[in-house]
Amino acid sequence: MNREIAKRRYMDVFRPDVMHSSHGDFLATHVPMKKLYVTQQLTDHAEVPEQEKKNPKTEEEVYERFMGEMEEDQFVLVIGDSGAGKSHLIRWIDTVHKMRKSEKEVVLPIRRADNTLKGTIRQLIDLPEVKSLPNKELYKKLLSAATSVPEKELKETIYYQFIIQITNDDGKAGDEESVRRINNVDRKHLIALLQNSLFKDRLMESDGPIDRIYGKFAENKSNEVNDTVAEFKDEDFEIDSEFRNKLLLGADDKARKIADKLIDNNEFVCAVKEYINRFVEKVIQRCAGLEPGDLANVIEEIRRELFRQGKTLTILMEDITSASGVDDSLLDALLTDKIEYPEKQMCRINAIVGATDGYYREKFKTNTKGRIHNFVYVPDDLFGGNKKGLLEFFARYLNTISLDPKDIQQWVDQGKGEMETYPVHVVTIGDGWGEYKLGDKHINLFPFTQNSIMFLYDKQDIAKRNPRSLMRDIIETYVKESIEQLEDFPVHRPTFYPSNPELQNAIYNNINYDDSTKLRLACFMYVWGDGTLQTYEKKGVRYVAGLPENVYKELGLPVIDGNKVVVPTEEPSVPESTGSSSPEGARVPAREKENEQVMIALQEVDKWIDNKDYKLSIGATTKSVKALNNARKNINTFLFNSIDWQSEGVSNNAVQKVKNQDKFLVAFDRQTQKSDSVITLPASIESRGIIEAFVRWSEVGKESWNFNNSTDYLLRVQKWGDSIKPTLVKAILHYDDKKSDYFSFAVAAEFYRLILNGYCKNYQDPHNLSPELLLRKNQAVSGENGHTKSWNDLLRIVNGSDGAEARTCVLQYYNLVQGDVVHSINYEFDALAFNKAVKGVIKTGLHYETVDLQLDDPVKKRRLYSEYLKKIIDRLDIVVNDEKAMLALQLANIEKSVSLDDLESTTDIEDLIDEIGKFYSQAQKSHISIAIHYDLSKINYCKRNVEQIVKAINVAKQVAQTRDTIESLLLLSRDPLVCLKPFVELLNLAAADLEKTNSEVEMRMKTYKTENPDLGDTPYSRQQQIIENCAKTIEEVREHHVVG
Amino acid sequence: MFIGNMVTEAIPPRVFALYRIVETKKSIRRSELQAMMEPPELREDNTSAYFSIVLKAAIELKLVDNKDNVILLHNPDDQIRTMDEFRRYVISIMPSFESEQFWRCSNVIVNMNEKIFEYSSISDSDMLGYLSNRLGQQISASMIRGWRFWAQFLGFGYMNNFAFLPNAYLYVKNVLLLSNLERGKEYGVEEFMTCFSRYGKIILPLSVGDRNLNISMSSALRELHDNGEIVLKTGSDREANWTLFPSKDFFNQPISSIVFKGVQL
Amino acid sequence: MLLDDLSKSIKAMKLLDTRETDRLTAEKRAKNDADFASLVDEFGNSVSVLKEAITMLDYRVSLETVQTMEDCSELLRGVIDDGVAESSKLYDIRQHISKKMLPNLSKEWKSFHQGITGGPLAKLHTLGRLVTDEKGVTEVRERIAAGDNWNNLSMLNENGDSRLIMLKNGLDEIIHMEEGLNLNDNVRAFIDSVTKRNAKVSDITEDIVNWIKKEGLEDRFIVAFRV
Repeated sequence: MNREIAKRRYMDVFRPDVMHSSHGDFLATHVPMKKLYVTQQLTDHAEVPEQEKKNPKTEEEVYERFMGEMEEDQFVLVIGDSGAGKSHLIRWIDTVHKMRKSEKEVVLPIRRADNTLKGTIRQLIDLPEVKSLPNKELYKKLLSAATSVPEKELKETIYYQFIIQITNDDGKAGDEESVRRINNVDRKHLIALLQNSLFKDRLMESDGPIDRIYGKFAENKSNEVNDTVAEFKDEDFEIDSEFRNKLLLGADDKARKIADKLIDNNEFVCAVKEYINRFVEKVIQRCAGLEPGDLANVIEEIRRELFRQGKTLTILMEDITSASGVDDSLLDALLTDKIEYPEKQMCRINAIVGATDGYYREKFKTNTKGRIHNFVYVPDDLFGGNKKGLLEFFARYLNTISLDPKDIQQWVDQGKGEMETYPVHVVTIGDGWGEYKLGDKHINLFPFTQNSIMFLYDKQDIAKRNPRSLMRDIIETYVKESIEQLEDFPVHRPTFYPSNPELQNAIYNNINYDDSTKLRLACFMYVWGDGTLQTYEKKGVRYVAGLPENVYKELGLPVIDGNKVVVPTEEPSVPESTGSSSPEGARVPAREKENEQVMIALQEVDKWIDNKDYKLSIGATTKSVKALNNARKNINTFLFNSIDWQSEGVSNNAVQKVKNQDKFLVAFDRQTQKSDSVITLPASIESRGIIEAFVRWSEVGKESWNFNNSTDYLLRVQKWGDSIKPTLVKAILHYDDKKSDYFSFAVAAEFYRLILNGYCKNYQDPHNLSPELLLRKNQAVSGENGHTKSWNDLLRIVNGSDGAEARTCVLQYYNLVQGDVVHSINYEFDALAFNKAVKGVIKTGLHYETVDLQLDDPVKKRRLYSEYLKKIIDRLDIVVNDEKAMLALQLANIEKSVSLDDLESTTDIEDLIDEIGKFYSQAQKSHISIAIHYDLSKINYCKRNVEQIVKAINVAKQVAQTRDTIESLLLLSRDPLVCLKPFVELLNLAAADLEKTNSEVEMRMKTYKTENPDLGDTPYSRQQQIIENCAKTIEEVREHHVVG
Repeated sequence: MFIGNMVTEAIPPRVFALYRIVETKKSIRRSELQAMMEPPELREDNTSAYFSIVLKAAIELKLVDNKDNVILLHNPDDQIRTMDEFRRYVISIMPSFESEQFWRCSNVIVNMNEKIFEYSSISDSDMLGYLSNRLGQQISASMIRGWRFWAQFLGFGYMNNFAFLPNAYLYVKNVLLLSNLERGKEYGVEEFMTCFSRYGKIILPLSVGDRNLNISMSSALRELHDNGEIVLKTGSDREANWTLFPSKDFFNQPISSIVFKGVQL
Repeated sequence: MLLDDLSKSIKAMKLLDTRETDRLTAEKRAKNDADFASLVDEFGNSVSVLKEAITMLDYRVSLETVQTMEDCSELLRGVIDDGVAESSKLYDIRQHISKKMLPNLSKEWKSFHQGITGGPLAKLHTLGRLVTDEKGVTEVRERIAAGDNWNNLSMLNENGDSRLIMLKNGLDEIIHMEEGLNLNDNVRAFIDSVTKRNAKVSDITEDIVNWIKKEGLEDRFIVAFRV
């Protein structure tokens, strides 16, 4: 390379499609094309029939076939992928043809230029043949179509033209014979949507459809070759819910309706897109003020004029899309056969037109396709099987950028562009990088070596092995790097799979280099060098990996010590033409096709290691980090799984807590996603190895280690895992240098639950609680109790899900489970450890303050226990005070009726209850109204519980004297109120009823005092008299008056 | 577990927890011991008690004895305090189980080499078929699930879910400790292997004459080598060489001697 | 103190009970006593009617009936002996009177009534043809008929006469009527025969003819064939 010249020139050379590209550069970089297919017919998929592929033609052969003298009209379509070299071929034909054609042949080259319609028309109006057209009106039209209009204005015009076209359409998009592509309702809604300003903004965005159409029509804003098609794409109408919601704010109903319909409805999106695309051509014509036939007229006029002059016409059009908008009618004109219109007196035409195969497939009308009988197919991999051609291509470009344009011009002008006079640049940098032998000339390949060209070509996606992509992606990239950042060269590092890791190990294990140097050196030695650790000396120069020492020094790379070998007998030379053998066959030992995900991931990792500012977008969904995201996930899973936690003394429960919150044990250094991971994987070669292992595990092994060389990857991972294990084990239960004590909190909370449920009635001092208490069934006690609302509210809390969670924790933490089950109903306790831990809690007397808790534990599932315990302790004072107040009230109530001193023994209470019973029973007998209060079950309940009542009274007295909340709680858990309350109620009721009874009795007694009981002494005297009289009479009757 | 069929229930921490209780109490009634490990009130009626299985394993390992339903330490003088000591103890008596299922099964699995990677799970039916065939006895899924706990604990390799990833670093380290090697001394590979095989035979090749080390053993030696705990050396004497499982990235020469530097625990 | 208050209250209620129980008994006894009195009155009534019938008509009853009456008086006397008119006893007495004593008396009276009124009525039938006061005959017949029911015998008419008296009066009237016709024995025998429709022509003696003429009863007799 001639660095000084190249620095100025390289951009000009690599951007050959702009208006002012140099003819000289073109020739200087031109490598004869040797792999062209000629056919009369393409397959349905616009491919060359296999038959013809067996018979590739050179550019010369193509020239001979189509550019010789001929009488008949001819149309040749040069077809191939974008960048394959169609334009190049047509331009070469142009160049050669100019030198070889006959006098009467007029050639109209229509360059791709900036690839816009306006650009094409500008070329036309500059042609003398067009300028002198007799039809001045037509010329004026062209002039006005070529006029520049401010971008914004033109875009608006384009946009509104679409609305106008659709508004005036009937849904058939001008194709009267077809069915409606879209119904009238949808069409009207579509118009509404297009009129919506939000949606308009969207379509008008740069790279949006209007921008694309504008770019093909008026102005190619980039320096890039514009191969995009001027049309709408599916994504332009794909509406997501976010956009819909935005739309909802302002859009009218019609726009909203169609927006809703477009959501997740691919079929409809496609229908709308296809419908609107039908208008593109018309819209462009309208905006240009052209009519479909105008260009055709131009061609026809020219042909008639030339016919008059007795000349023939050759049109060389590099890209048909540069006539977007009128391409259809233009093709029609170019295909018009003079024989069919003898009256028009047109000259012979030979049209060579370029088109991408995609454009041909999709945009050419069927009848147009049927009229084309000559195709030249320029394949993608122009250099496939042609290593020499590939190297020559590189060499010529590298040479051209280092040559002064004057020298090139001189070569074209004086040397007639002949091989013998081909100029070679003066090397100012890159001596020793290797050369390409072009004839007898040696062209320096800096910043490439033959190895690197072959390697990079091989790495290049098959679809991008065409000249333009090779130039842009490879030559330009590294030339730029070599000029601007030689000290970091190569900045773009292809991934390579070291078929011989010896060299890589030697580099990676060298403690003298930093990671960045290691990566750069390894890449350079594998890609630019021969990838071996071999070293030899030749002519006093040391070679390592096939590259001389000074090359490394030029790049500021260390020169590694290698295994000495003898000097290779022959310098590697390039075979003339390998023919069938593939370029990769030349040097690199057969290597596996690298897995794409592995490649992408490693590229990202290398950037990350290499560039201290580079962040890994972990958590994002972009393709480049997908594999890294997975790797990180898999690393975590692996670590969780592979550490034998129980054997390390960590409860499975503790592991699960961390695992369940999706905590990552490992995060990447400089990752965009925030992380509280335990280990941060530094941006280093070692990390690279770990990451690579996991990417391979998932991508190559499909989640297994069943892939080539997996044992090495596995061992790397195992070694690393072993090295960080102590940290991880410690970290599982620690945060901020504190040990997470959630088990204790769960135990304390569980003890509270037991107390509140009354399982600890027999304890007075919390320090006496025993671990065994926890190991009982201890179900939540529901049903009636005498506790206050606040007690029962707390009881409900502890018997709720939090309580269940805490209990589970208490029981599972020291349960030795099999595998990673979270909890098991099979208990196999680590009894010693359990007892020890629980005793630690008991020792505190359950006195936990908020400051004792770990409310800052970052692991949510652990923090829950602190939060839960806090919930309990926050309520304890209220609960205890409420209960105490209630008890005091009960005692006061008792004292209203009975002195507490009179209730010291069970018999005292029994007598009292009995008396109350008797009272009500008598009231019932005496029909006293309060007898309805006679509740025998209540009386019996109290009677049965006399003993408890005595105790309750004692507890109540005791509680009143107890200051300590937890001791009070324990006392209160005996639920003194449950029997005390009914008893007190009974007492109170009886006392109240007693009064009522007394007054009622008094009232009723009064009536007896006024009544005079009339009780005669001989009540039946009169009757006795009568009876005696009667008896006498009857006696008489018996004696005297009986019949017979 | 170690005598007769392998079981899932007698996992290492349980056996050790049982031992620790006995060690603390010196002697304890069987029922009392069971109640400590399996609180009676927590036992669902339909759950089977694992206790007897765990106890059996502890007896097999000569940790405890059962005398008339009183459980006593087998060897009251030795005290095993930590899981690490427990591991080393178990490794030390491993040779006595050489004819048993666990021993033989372990030996077959570590010698499967890369074939093991074909099975996503050790309880894969093909894998079970393979093992049954090799051992000449039916190996069930539950047996192999039980195996994994001890394989991982003793350090034949790593478990990632049910995938066994051979690398006997931990096991080999313990064997080296048990072997009382002399620090800094260079052992001829034959001598080293002879010494090693006393406790380490379980992870050595199946047949005596085979000098190709499996992945498990190879990775262990490489890791020790890379950690500086041993130094692998290669020499010219072809006869006295042992071959590691092939590797591209790690020490890959035939081993002729090994320098013992001292292992870290 | 509650204990004491309770027991005081219980005592007060008990006293109340006693009082109230007492009052309840008195009310009931009064009613029973009234019932008893009415039973006694009913019985007394029956006995006095019987006594009157005997006096007026020399009525006689069967021994059985006497017995039922004695039983009845015995039952009533039992109540007096009890000093209390117990409902159940009253019930028994009522049953005895209505189901035994009164049916017996009624039955026997009915047949007695038929017995004592048969002859006089037949005579009335004959005499009725002889007397001009036909309305008086009908009245007598009605009076006699009205006394056929024992139970009504003590019922009084507008003049304050009982039906028993009316019966007696009726019977007496017939006798009176006969006497007013101045009948001798022959005539009386003749009239009997005519009344019985077996008077023969030969029975028409001179006395008879004289009597007829004397009394002016020629239009009242006819001779008829024996049927």
